[in-house]
Amino acid sequence: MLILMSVLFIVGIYLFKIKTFLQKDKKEKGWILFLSTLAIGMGILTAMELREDFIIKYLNQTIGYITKQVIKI
Amino acid sequence: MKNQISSFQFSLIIGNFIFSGTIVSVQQIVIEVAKQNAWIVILISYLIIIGIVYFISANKAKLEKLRGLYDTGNSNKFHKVFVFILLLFLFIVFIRDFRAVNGFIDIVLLPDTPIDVIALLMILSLIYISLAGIEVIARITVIHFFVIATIFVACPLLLINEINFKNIQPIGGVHALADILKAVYLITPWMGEALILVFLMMFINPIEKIRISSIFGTTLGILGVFISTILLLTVLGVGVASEATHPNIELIQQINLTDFLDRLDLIIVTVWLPAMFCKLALLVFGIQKSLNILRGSDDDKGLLPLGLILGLTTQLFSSNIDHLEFAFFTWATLGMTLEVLIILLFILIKNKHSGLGKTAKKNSKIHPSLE
Repeated sequence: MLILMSVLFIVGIYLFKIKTFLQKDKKEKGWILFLSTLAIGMGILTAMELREDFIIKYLNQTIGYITKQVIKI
Repeated sequence: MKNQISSFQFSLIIGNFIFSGTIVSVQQIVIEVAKQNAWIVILISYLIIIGIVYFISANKAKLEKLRGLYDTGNSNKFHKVFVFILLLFLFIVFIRDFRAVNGFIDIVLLPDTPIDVIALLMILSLIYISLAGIEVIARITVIHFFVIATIFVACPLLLINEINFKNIQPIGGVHALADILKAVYLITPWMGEALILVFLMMFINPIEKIRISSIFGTTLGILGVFISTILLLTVLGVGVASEATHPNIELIQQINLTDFLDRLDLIIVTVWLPAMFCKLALLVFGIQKSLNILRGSDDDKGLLPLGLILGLTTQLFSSNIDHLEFAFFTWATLGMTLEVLIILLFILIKNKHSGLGKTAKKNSKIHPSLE
């Protein structure tokens, strides 16, 4: 929860600080809001203790396995 | 501020890029596989990487023209594929090294602090450094890499009373060749991080010295790894070095010249951490720049949310074991694949550009030194 609150606080302050820039540039606005949403989303996943470790586990089981076959460990 | 770096800064950035990440833990698996011959592995890997660096940094006139590859206005789809592969490479190196530093701080320095908090604090510093641009990153890299390199060069002297050359004997052995080749497979993608030069190429000025600077930087980085590996073998021996999660920490804890110099390990760690910060800041900068090229806009306002996302990538690893498995095994094949792709695409793009003879001649007139 501490991480989520920190991310929300930092993103909130930042968006408030660049609000005039966001009003002028629509293309950048979409990009920054997309990244901010993604950051907050990852913060929520962290707060709910839902780890996104399946990606690395999958890579370890597939590509890591290839390496182990090559070096025969 | 101009986005330019000198050839000396370029060299030290490459040196730091190879050295600071490699010394965290990968030497453990290299020593486990190649045993007392691990130092030969570094030499073989060095020859491979120097060959690649020498080959891709050839032909200054073509390289000068390739700077346009990183323009945000570049709409060539083939170039975008190259930038995407480069982005993937930078991103994976970042998540691997960022987790490695956080894991190290969590285990060794701040065991009571949650790893997420360490990651958040660290990423805020990295965003701050990256926002300042490549020149600032280059300047701080020069300072920190110079200090850490000096310490590592002095390490053989500091550890002279602990060195035992019997630990690297016998040289060779029954299955030595096979073991050395296996270890070369594991370590080469780490040394291959010298390929960051294809990204830094757009900032170096003058570009005429790119080849010698790349070779110098790669040599410096790998020389540091070589010194560290040979000390691990001679001081700790194969038994201890192949079991320790952070073998270099075990190594510098052996420095006990006098009572005063007994706790040099903390000082060395405080010097190594900023060097690692420089590498991570460069990676954040590179990721942001690559994303800007792909979406055709050169604005750094998105760096803060992007940095926060990168900071939360520590969640991708459930434990240190997961990270070690990723760094030791997955990165070997994944890194090798990405690096081969980067080299092939870079050579293809470079040769494709050479077809534009008139433009090349025009450019060589602008830059007489390139003829």
